[in-house]
Amino acid sequence: MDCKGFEDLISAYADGETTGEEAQLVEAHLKACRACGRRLAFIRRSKDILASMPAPEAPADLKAALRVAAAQAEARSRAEPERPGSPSGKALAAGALAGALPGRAEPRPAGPTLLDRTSAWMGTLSPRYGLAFGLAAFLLVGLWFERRQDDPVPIDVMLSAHRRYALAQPLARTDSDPGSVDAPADDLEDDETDD
Amino acid sequence: MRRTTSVIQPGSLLAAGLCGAALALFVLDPAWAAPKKAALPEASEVLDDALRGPESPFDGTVSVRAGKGKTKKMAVRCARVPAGGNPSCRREFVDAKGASLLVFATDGSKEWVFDKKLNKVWEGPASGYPEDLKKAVRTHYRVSISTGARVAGRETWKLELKPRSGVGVGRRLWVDRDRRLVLKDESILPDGTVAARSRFSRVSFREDDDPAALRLEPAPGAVLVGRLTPEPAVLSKVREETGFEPRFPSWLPTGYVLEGVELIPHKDKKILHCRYSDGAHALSLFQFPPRSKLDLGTKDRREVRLASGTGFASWTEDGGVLGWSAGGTKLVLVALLGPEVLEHIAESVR
Amino acid sequence: MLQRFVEEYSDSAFQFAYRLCDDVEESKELVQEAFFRLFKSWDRYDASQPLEAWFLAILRNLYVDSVKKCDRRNRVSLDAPVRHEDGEGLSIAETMADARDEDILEALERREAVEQVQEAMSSLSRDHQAILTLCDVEGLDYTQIAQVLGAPPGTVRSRVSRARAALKEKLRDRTAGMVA
Repeated sequence: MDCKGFEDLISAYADGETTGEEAQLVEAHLKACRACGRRLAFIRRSKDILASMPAPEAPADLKAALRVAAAQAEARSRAEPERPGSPSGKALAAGALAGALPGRAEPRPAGPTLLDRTSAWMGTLSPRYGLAFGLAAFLLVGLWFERRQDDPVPIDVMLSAHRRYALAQPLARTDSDPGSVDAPADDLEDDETDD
Repeated sequence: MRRTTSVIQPGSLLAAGLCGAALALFVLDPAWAAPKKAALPEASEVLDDALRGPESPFDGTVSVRAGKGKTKKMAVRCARVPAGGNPSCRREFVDAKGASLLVFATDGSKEWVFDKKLNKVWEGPASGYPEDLKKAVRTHYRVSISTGARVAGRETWKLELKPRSGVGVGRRLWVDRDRRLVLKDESILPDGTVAARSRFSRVSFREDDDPAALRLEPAPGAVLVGRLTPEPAVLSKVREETGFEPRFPSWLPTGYVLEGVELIPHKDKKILHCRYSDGAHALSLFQFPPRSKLDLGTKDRREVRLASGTGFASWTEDGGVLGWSAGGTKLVLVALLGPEVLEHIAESVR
Repeated sequence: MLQRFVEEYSDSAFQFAYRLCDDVEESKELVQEAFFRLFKSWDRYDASQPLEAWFLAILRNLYVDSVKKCDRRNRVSLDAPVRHEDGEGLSIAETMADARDEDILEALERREAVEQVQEAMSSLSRDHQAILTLCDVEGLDYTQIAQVLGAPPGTVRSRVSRARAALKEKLRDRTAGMVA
């Protein structure tokens, strides 16, 4: 049995990325080839594990910086065009905006005292972003994004845990217990069809 | 004659057909040519008989494909003593080499599952087939009957159970015409996919069994555990790790036992995953810390009225899904079982 | 809308960047730049598009930038020796290793499976890690993967397959010590 040609096909089959014809080819091959059956089982298993691996969270300071930037970008697009009577708004746009986008524009910071305080507070950030971020956070405290309540747990977390368990059932396992017989799939087909 | 009950197992012939009611027994001569279009019996009558299971003991060879697993072929020996209304029944599944895989036994009030390999016995109250579940089958499904293909060389009736709501696992059963044993069994998802399948390739009925054949014989030193709830040590570890009080169903279909629990880390939470199985089919119960939000997906969702409040049912290629909350805890069931069974399990959670 | 985008996708973006760079500080900078670039011109983006489309753009940015910016650190590609590329060595390895596929599967069924896979993943080449992250962790389809990598769609299939073969090799090395 020449399995070399099937490696990529089986991988694609596990991803649901084969054409109807290709899928039929794979299924026919799988009926007779245990090695490829194991290969498919391995791929499915590793997919499940990868899908359910706990995801490393983005560092808090990164998220904070992104939230601020997001809020600013949205505020910017909503902002009224400049009017004489709103100097604070102007300062907000100029200083804070620049603060969150270092390297894009070189604004003047609001004032040394303020900066020292915020930068000291934000001591954990790398120098490149620390000052600017501190300033932005201070100015935008009103627009600060509220930390969301527990993110909803998606059904996929449960489904992949369930699937992993289902595949480990003794009578459903794809690697065999010595002695139990793996019936060929067509053993479940009828000799006749119903009327 | 005292009626005894059994539970229909989607995709599973393992625990179905535990005990039988009186049936007029006659031997079907395979050479007898049945008229092509036999008069169809009442669907509900055949369904009831199928759910109760055959009266006589039998031997057979059965192939099971549960979910995405491979097909496994096993020999099954069902011991019964039909005379005298004895509800006791013992079914043993054996592999090609004659090694015992699983033994299911009941005496009508208790049931046991014995895994010889692990030398472990799960014991608990017999699940039987509760009256309200039987009624629920009528409410949840449209049942139709037609002539079926021969299975294991025997004439059958084909029963189709389609969920009226369109949400959840449906069933197709091929029932032996005279002994009313379910010979072939399919679990169907709403999109038509056959999610699981079991089939007898050979079956022979006996007339009588020695009561001695009904004994459950664990080897010395077998571990005995509860069928549906974990050991106290496990329970306290779960409380400690999750910070909430876990809950467990007090009823599961015959043959299902708690195999273990696991904790799934998700962001800063730990989700409790209780794993139940009947040897071939998995049933998962997930529980979440208080104030958790769940995203069950929006596909084919249906609201479900439960005693504890409103739940949501949907389905996936892994089977039926039921999510609900009870006393502040959020729970999710995933299994290849019909919607009425999932709801019954949910109602039994304490 | 953008804030929701940040909440939903910043973890995944960081994870992807980390797979590419293997360094927290560099990953943070990469992610921040990618998002900022998006925010700068977000009003030009079609707001009716699902957020996922924006996420693909972020991933694409991360991938392109990481090539230029991440310190390569002279990493030797231990998982992609020549014999795997030309296919001939592969068949020998396959026949020899066949008998131990079951060991790997069994090992994967144990509780430690997640750690094993995580470790194995981390030791793969950057490209292999990237593509497995996109395919199996993020669940993108081949068309989307091709978009992110800037690769011809027809090549995605074999790239994914090779990455999986590499992962299997890594796990094989680990289980060899673990199975009696």
